[in-house]
Amino acid sequence: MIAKGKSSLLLFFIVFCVALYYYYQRAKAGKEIYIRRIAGLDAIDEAVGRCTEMGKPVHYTFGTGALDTNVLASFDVLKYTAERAADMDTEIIVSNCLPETQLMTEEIVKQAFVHEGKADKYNMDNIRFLSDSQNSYVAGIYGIFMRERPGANLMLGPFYAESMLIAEVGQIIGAIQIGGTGRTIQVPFFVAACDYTLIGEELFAAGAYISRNPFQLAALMAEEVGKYLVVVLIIIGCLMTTSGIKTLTNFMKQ
Amino acid sequence: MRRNLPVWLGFIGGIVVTLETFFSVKIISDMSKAFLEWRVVMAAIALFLGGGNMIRIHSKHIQQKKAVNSMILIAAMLILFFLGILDPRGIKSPAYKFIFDNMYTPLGATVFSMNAFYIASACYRAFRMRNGQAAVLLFSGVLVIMGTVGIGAVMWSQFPVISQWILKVPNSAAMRGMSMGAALGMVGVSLRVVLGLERGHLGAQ
Repeated sequence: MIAKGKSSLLLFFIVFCVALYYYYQRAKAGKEIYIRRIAGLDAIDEAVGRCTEMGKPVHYTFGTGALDTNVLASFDVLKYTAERAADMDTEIIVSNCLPETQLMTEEIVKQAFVHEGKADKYNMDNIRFLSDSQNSYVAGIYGIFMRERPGANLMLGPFYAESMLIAEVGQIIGAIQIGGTGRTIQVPFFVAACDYTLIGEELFAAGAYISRNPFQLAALMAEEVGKYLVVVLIIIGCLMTTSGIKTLTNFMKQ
Repeated sequence: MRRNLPVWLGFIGGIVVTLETFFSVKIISDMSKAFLEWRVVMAAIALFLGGGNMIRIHSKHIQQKKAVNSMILIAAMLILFFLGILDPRGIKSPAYKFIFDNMYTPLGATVFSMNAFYIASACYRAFRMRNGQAAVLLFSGVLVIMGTVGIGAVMWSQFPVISQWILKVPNSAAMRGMSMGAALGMVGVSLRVVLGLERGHLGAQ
């Protein structure tokens, strides 16, 4: 009944769920959960504040990847950024490549403005669908950069080659830039071109970090358990394989 | 209801697709396949909404006499749309193909080719030796470049060996560490969304 080659993955998933349940109960009992500082997320206030001082808009985009966990994690950051922008009476422009995210981002930004009591300041025209083609999408963002000169550019989501194309032009117009993606192959481009970078898992921790919701933090702690488990398995696997014992290697293939 | 229905739909969809990953049960596989097909249908419908958003915004620009660009964009969009729809050969019609091959493709290639220059300028900034870490980045970057370009091997035969070592050992180790962290993060976000702990995508407070 268990799919071929998925037994070890299922076991790992069960351990993950048990850890999640344990930390969820701890959070429910009011136990505090520590989370380290993430500079890229702390910099959002600075970026929006800078835009307010300069009278420029904030630009936010998700990249051209599919609607996956990167985008879902990025929505939390968008919500927070839009709330800060609404609070500081600053415009926020969202460029969408995926038509699916267009309506979702409209709703998220609208709700953020409503939450801050600035519903009248919400501008639907600032939530834009550019194109689902990479080059056209990048060209559209260039147009926004050149015409509207945003003071901050946030790029959080599943990025491909457009990471460098957008980040460098953002740098040319002098915008403060925060980049982040779970696609690790693109991280070096963000590190080279952005002021702040969320590396891999930091993007996925964004929602919990921003909200400080104890139940979301509990899920982060479950991830930590998963990480320790992976490290232990790597060490044991290295030792066993070096000694010629293939038990663990064979189990992982099952 | 408005808040809870999407959470429940996400829960059901997430659970079915998760079960399909681990178990070979026909009914679950069929349900999962249906969900994924619905996603494609919804994406296709959303594309019309996205197109509608573009037309609305750019029509406003044209009314306000703000941009010739908007006029060109809408005209190009409508021409291509009708060429694709009216000709029974669809996107294989000669007119459509001519515009795509001779206008869209070169313009796209132009945008993409800028990557080469941008990578160079980003490297120039990143390689400035401001501190110890930047110095390590600079030296390892130079060694990898020297090992990759032909002249490096001519200058010193060990450049390619060192370059390959940097790419295969420290670089791979760091990348795999990041990948594992990201993969666990993805599982965490997925579970939070499926269980309704994370509702940012719903615009919820």
